[in-house]
Amino acid sequence: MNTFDPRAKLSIVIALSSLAIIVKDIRLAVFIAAVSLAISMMLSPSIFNILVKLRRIIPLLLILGLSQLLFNKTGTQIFQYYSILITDAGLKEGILVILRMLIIITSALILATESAGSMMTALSALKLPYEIVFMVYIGIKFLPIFNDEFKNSLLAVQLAGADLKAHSLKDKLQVYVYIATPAVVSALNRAKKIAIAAECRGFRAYPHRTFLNNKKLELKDYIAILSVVILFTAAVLFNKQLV
Amino acid sequence: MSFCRLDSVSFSYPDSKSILENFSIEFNKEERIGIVGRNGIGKTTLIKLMLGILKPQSGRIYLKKNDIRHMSLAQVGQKIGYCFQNPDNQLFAPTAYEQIAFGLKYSGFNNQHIAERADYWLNYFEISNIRDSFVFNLSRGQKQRVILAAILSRGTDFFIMDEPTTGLDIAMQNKLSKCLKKLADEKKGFIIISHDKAFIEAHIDRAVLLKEDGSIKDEYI
Repeated sequence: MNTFDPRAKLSIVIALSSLAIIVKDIRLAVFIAAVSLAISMMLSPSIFNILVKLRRIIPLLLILGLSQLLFNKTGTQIFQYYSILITDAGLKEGILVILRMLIIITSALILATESAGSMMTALSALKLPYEIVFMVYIGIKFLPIFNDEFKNSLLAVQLAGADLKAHSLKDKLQVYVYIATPAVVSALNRAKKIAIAAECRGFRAYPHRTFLNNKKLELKDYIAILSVVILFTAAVLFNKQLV
Repeated sequence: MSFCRLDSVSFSYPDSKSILENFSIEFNKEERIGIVGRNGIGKTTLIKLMLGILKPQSGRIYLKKNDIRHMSLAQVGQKIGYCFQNPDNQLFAPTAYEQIAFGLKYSGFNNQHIAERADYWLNYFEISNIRDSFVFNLSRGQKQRVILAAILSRGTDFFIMDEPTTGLDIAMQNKLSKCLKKLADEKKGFIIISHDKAFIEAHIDRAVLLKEDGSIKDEYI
């Protein structure tokens, strides 16, 4: 199923993540989250991978929802225990925040089904300046490198005997600075090396460049983009009526 | 008493063939072991399993009779000094002194002892001149010396060194040799992974050869 053009996928992601911010009704948000999840599952190699990816962010989602629930004091009171006041508006916002994050994350997974190189070609086909596209490409390529650097530093710090759970806040802060330092330094060093390598290979030597694989929108891509435009418009109109 | 025991351990990386299959071995505390074998045979993987960095798909690993699953990396690190294959992956502090002092602090040394030990090892590996230099810009050999100083200064009972001679000149290799002989005199054990046959043969009393078919040749010298 992973045969849509990256531009079609990009349209889907932009529409869904915009809707995540626009919608104010829980039912509509649930519908969009379901659509987003369904598309991600359709495009992703396996449903299991999505669920595994989502599992790690569940505590974060719950914290976000809980903070809305506890600190949003507008609306009608539905529960009070000492200073803890729960209102209907707080409850609604709490649920909406979780749904919004779910929509954004699941729609972002759609982009994860596309390789960085393919996305770069697609962005260039959208007439974006190649320098900007190249920066985005390099940025994406840096993410796993950053991840590896953090993991290595974390391992090195722990194997040097530092138990991250058992020390004071001051010590913990110092340890986290140590963990972050190699990643930042490595990123800067790599950026320098990539810049030199790119220039050695004639980067920007000519005003225009060609691509080995040019992206071409097919009928199914047009249908996908049209469907997403219809969904977006309908959701915005429906949202206006519900609010 | 065995220092580390791997009991019927199997391990494979995702989407790759099995690296270790039903693998069992014991290492004693005072042994000087060399692990050898071809590139990609699983030498570093074996070490990472022993340290609890990687988790086996099946089997058990014990460190001083403790199941490694119930130990944190910090607890393992307090018993074993591990020198990574690539020093770039192990350096985290901005200066050589801080890199050495960090491990000493978490090994329970007071500030005075930290300063004394750190300076001793900086002198030993002739890196006092780069004590406060930014380590990430040093050469490969200098980085390796900083890591060796940081590991050896902590005085753990057992050491694991993955390709410790890479990037070291002859003089520094000799210094490391002297150091390893001293460890042997102090009845401290170590494992060396290296492709430097002469270096490894000069320091070990047991050789473990990992073979392509998954078997091992384990012999005392």
